[in-house]
Amino acid sequence: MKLRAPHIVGIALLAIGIIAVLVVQLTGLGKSATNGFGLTTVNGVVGSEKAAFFADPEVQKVFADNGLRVDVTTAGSWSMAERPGLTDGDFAFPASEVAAQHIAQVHPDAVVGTHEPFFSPMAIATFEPVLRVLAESGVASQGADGRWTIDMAAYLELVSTDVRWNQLPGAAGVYDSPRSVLITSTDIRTSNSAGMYLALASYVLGGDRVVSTVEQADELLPALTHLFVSQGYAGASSAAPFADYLSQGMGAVPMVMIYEGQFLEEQLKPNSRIQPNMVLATPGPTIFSAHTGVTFSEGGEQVMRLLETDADLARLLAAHGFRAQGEHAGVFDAFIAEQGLSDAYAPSSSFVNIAQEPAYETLDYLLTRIGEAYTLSGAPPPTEESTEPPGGTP
Amino acid sequence: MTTAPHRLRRLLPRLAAGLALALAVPATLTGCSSDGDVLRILAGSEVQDMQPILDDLERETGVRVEFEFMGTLDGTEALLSASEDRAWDATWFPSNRYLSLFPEGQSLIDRSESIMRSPVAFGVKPDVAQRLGWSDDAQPTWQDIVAAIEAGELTYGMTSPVSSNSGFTTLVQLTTALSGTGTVLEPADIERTTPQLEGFAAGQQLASGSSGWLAERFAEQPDLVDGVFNYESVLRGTTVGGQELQVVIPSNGVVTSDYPLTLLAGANEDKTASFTKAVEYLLRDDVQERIANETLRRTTATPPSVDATVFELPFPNQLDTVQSLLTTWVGSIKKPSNMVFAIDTSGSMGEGDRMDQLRAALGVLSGEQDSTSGQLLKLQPRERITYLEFAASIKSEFTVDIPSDEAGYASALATINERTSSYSPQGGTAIYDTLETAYEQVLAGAGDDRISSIVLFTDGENTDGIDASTFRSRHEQLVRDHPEVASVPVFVVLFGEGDVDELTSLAESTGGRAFDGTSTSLSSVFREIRGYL
Repeated sequence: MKLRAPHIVGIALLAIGIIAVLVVQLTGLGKSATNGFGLTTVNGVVGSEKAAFFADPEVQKVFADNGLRVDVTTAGSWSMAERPGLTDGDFAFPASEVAAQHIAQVHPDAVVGTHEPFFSPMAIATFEPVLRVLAESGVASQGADGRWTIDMAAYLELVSTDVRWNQLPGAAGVYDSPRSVLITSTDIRTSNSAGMYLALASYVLGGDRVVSTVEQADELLPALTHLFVSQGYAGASSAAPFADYLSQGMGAVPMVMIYEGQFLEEQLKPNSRIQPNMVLATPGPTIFSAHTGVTFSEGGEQVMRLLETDADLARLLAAHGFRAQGEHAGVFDAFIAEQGLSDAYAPSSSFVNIAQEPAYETLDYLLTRIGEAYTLSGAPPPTEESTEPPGGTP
Repeated sequence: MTTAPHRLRRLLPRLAAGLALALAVPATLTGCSSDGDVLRILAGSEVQDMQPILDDLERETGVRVEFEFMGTLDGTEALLSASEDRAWDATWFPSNRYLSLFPEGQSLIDRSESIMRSPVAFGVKPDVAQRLGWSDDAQPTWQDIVAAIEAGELTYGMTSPVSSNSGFTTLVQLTTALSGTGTVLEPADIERTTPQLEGFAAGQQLASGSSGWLAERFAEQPDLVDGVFNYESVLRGTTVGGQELQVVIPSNGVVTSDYPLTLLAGANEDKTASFTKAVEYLLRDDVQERIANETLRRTTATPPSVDATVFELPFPNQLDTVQSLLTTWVGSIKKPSNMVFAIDTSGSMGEGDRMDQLRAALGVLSGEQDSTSGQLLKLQPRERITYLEFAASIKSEFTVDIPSDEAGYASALATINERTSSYSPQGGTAIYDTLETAYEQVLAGAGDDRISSIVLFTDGENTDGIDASTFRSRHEQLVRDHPEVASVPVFVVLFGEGDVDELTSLAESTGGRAFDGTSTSLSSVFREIRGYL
């Protein structure tokens, strides 16, 4: 058969079409690439505390049912904005509103949208005997609902006078530790959860007000620096303090500042290492780590919209210790009630005394100055957070 | 903004990963260990007891572990000075704390996972614990331990803080607790704590370069000391005179070793996969239980006690703190050594590079290596050293008391270098005659305020003078006449085809041990021996 011009044009058009599809698929023009199973791959950079959630096969299934395959790498929330190639991906997902604002400031042209689909209150993993000792000095108190609160102002007062555990009334025979009363945290120079602790402490030391000037910050710096530098060798991994709490117990780590969800996630494991005397206390005031997604593409937007609206994801978020906002805000409380854990986790609506993060510039100033104190003392540089998910421990 | 080339660059690694996976599957099916399944691990000798479990690791996962053992400080320096193509993929020391204090140390770590834990505690003979009123329910403080030593009621053995992690940890936790700060030890605290540290040092009657050997020696000669500082796990597995030790965990805190299996930076995908398999295996519930049962360390199978029985002290976060603590300890606090070196310069020493090796080994004492550990291994002020050069008879001998002042120190070292560099190989070998002389010499400088020992360097068989059995009976008589001789061990360094069995048994009968100087360099053997002196 003889090919006529219209045929050739048709074949050429078809070929161009096939090539175009191939180019779009292989190069991922338009950001998200569709893979062989018909899923669109979306790439994100997330804080390590969310790695286990995104790695959960059930979570991946919900995304797949919606046509998405979500690949994440982890990075410290504070260093995300400066991460090379960040905006080549579809979204960045730090554990702090302020860190997200910073990303938006650094990459103003790349941002498609910002979302706060869920949050984690900061909490203190501790032990019942420790709380009872603190209660005698009015630092801790137990509500009628059985939940414990640690008065941050009273705690910081103990720290400022370098009180040892064994000097506290009621400590004898219960908690005779010769160590100074001090909350353990992750490395302030790399980790967001320590950054939230810093924000909280600065708010309380500033008289329940957000620190807004350099003068105020300078005034608080000695006390704030002490909270971190005096902890000693911090361990090489950001998951280390909570892991030590679980494996070495009360004698090693009496109090550790964590995301509430870290405790819950461990508690829900089939072979959980949470023992009967391990208690999650709420700092008063508390502070929320608002997980804030910054999107750079429609794919990123799709992920955030699902996190905001999908009922199954809201439940899976709860199972990983995250509290959904918006239309599924009640899911976390229902999940907790179902698990019989209402005596440990307050309903989302009950938080009234909440500290706010300072502006990015102020927090950055505090972090820089405290980082300098490490250098001056001769302490080694911080360990960057691993770029691999840290084995399920946030 | 995003451009097509970026996409391609991101796609390529994924394609490569897919390809690697496709290739990896057939390799796994064949079942034989390829190079990728071998993890070369630089480790502390403490983890030798994991071998049976690691054998099963290989059986179940195909990952084979090949160890090279080194002390924590030596291993840290080896890592810091190794080039990119270092001979290890991973490390497994009792702790990464010392390495992490070096700015460049942290960048050597890709990732690490704590496999098991053991605090460093004090194992005391039960009758001594009873006499002092110490029990599980009444643990002493570190101050109580120092007070008992100062009252003349307590003696102990510990490993060298320079050679071994258990001695190093003992020193750090002791000093932190004595300093009385509720937080982390800082350089200024060390000077303030020195008088108490001196009181503590006075009780040391037994030195060792390794925690395993320290426990063995204590079990064999229970009369030497009242107790030893060692890993809780080692102490719980040691019986002395048929009795279990009372494990004293001082009530004001200890430092726990957490045995992190550590992947070194730059590992390729195969090694990373092997590392992950090894970690997953070792952290499995049944394996954690097995580790707890077989090595007596704490694991996830032994959850922490619900009440606080062990307080953890903070570890220093400044390199300067640790280094000045070590320097102060070996330089001015530790009981000084009283050493007699019996050095064989018989004719056979002229073979090969034996004399050069010997000089290099003796050079360790002159601080020829400029590293931190090099400075800590060299002769220290207040030490006494006697050099006995021998062949068929004693060829030369001299004794030097190392002065504390800088000029005196330099001139003492110059004398030693001058005398030992004139050694030349010639003549027969009178090992046992020389050892007899060595015992006479060591007695002259022995006493409660020194740690005395004899080091024999030899490459040959005994050809002159008394024989081994005559020496043994004379040694027994000497012990009867001078009981303090019982605590003077002979360490033998063999670097030739000498009578290995006879010299090993001789060393062990004196409470010493023999070291093989033929397969590794004599100076690295000597660095190890220095921990025992």
